Amino acid sequence: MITDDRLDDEVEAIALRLARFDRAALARTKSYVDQVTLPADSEFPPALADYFELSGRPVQQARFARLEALGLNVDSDLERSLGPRVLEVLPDA
Amino acid sequence: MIPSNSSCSTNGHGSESWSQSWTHMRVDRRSRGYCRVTFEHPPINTITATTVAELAELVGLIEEDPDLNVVVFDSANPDFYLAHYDTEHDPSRTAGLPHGPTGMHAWLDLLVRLSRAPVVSIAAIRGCARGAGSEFVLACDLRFASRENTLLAQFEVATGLVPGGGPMARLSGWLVAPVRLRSSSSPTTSTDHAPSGTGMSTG
Repeated sequence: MITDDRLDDEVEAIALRLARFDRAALARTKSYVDQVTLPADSEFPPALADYFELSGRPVQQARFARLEALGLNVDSDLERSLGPRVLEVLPDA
Repeated sequence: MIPSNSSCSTNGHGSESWSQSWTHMRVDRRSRGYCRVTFEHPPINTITATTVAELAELVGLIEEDPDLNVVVFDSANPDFYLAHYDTEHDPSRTAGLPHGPTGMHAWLDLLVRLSRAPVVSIAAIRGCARGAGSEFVLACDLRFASRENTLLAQFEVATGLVPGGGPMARLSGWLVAPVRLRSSSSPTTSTDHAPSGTGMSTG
């Protein structure tokens, strides 16, 4: 996290610094970091299959239709307060 | 989509493919080693099938460029970095996006390839990045976020969905400790968004 007034300068500084590095050294080092930090590719497809399966349910399409009626996908209070307001399309407990 | 010849054009700033007409982003090849991508899809930078197709093409350029060292992704909208996914009432268009070179769906494919590319990817974040927007941020190598104005969220679970772009796998590795310190709730099931100043400081 960086204070907003410093964000642009900090990012520009590190980008300009990295842009000057020797590419072979940078790319090869990154590949070793990737090996020990990134999840295996096999982690990803099952969750996306779940996403598509659950998306296709009628109840899901009804929830998103209600969210759209409340302002989803446009600049709206719903979009700016989506965390709390998403509950508005769920049934009472 | 991926150019077979990525030799530099006469301006020395990469192949001419970089300067094509992008519709959901601006692409500025600032020097041989440095590219700046600015998301610009009014009104709130939703990610659509068109965005995915353009990002897939862009990742191909990033992978193939012999001179590029770093790419910065920022947003023209300070309130919405990348709002979230929008199927535009046609889920089949998203489901039908072509699988990429990894064999995975285009969205997973471009995230995996970006994270493994021989180029440092930096997300410079202002505003909301929810759902697929958060997934994109998590696939970058580095995240720099406005302390006063950043909100990451995987809101899918609250709506009845499973986050599809792999945040469970990407977040769990480096967000567990700070979440445990400051909150007992999981980042994907909490009713509140990840507050600025907690998890983000680790990325």
